Amino acid sequence: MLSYFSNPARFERLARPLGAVFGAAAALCLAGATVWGLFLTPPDSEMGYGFRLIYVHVPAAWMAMFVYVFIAGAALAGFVWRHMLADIAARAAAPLGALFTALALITGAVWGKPMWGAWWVWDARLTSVLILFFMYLGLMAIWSLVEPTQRAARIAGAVALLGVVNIPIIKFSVDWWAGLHQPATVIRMDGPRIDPAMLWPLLVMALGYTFFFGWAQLTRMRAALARRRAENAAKQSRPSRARLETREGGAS
Amino acid sequence: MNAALAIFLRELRIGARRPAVWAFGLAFFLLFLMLSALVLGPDPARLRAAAPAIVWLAAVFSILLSVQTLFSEPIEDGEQDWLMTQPVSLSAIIAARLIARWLLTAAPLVVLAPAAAIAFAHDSGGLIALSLLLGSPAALGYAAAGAASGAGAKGAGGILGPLIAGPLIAPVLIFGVGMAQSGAMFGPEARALLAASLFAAAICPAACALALRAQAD
Repeated sequence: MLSYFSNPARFERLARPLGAVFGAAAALCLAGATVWGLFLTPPDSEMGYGFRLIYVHVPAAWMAMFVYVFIAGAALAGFVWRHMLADIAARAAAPLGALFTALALITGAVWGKPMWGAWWVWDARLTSVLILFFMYLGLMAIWSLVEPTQRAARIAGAVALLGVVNIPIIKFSVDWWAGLHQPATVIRMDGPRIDPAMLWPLLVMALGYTFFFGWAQLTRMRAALARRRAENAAKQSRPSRARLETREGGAS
Repeated sequence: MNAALAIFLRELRIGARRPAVWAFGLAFFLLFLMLSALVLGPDPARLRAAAPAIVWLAAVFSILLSVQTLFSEPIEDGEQDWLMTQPVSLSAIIAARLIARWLLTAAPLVVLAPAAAIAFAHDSGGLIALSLLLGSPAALGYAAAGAASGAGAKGAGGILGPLIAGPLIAPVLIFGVGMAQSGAMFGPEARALLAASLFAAAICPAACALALRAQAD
């Protein structure tokens, strides 16, 4: 099946309608969960209306982790099958993952101000998400600094795999570190002890985020393929002129 | 195995002749300590409280910087191509080079750590040195993986290595400083540091090899 869909032309024939489906599903889920979460759920007993930020913050944090694992999976596929689409997928996903991570960090800060009384607290979860953000930045830096694209793909793949095996260690060390330093006054939200009335909109929202990622990812991959095609076409149509220019340049 | 040993000894001999390999990192370590003291002020109590963190940061940055040319130089002058024709796996070659490089750049920092602790009015310099001994192999391994990834990059390639290695080194810093502050020689931090170094020894040569093969493609 994998080799069937790895044909770029076939991929594009599938990606266009699938992207439209994902986009529509994302719009529906996001809009529905927004209305449900903002207006139809009761305010939290401790946090009041401020808890509603959970619907933006928690799915963003989930997606931040999911996208890194997705990139590592694409990197592994890129190493095993050496296929262009896997590399394109890994490259297209990195800025999206960084975006989700940044959203989680920013909404975390906005949430922290009324809840903890500070924009930033060196809490274990915030800190490990911050580290994840820097890991995304590293991947994006490779794509922008290393040439040609195939070499960048192999190196970014190696770094993504090295990163994904280290994530548990980083998470463990940061938890341990925050356990030492964390002040006792910090209020912590217990994830599993959440009322079903609040949980369902959260799950729909998470689904909406996932569809959004699917739509954005397919769109970005199609854009990358189109760019590559345009570059190849430009290379093929202008070789003689390029040669002429270098000859003139050499003579002068 | 003999070839890896020969490469290890060769790396040690060549490195010992080049101040860029063993002296500059050491000088940077001392410079970082001095600048930190300037920032913190001369109050001994404050210096003592910050000593483990500062010594560890100085060591990690010194290692990060001195490892940056570990792979880019051999690629530029063609030595890397020669290394890749050797009858041992690339991972083994890299492991041999990393051990030699640890002896030349990180081991001197371990030896100097007690002196640095004295300069920061800290009395358990031996413990800081021990934490560096246990944790610096992991720091060097991740720094090398970053350097291997940045080796072929143009322009700002020098910043790519530390940018990639930095997040991966975070656990080493946490447990290293934790061990130096805990005062326990065989506490959970020491074991976690040792585990981090063993894990890095297992995966970093392979990760470097993966990135370097991509450079040769």
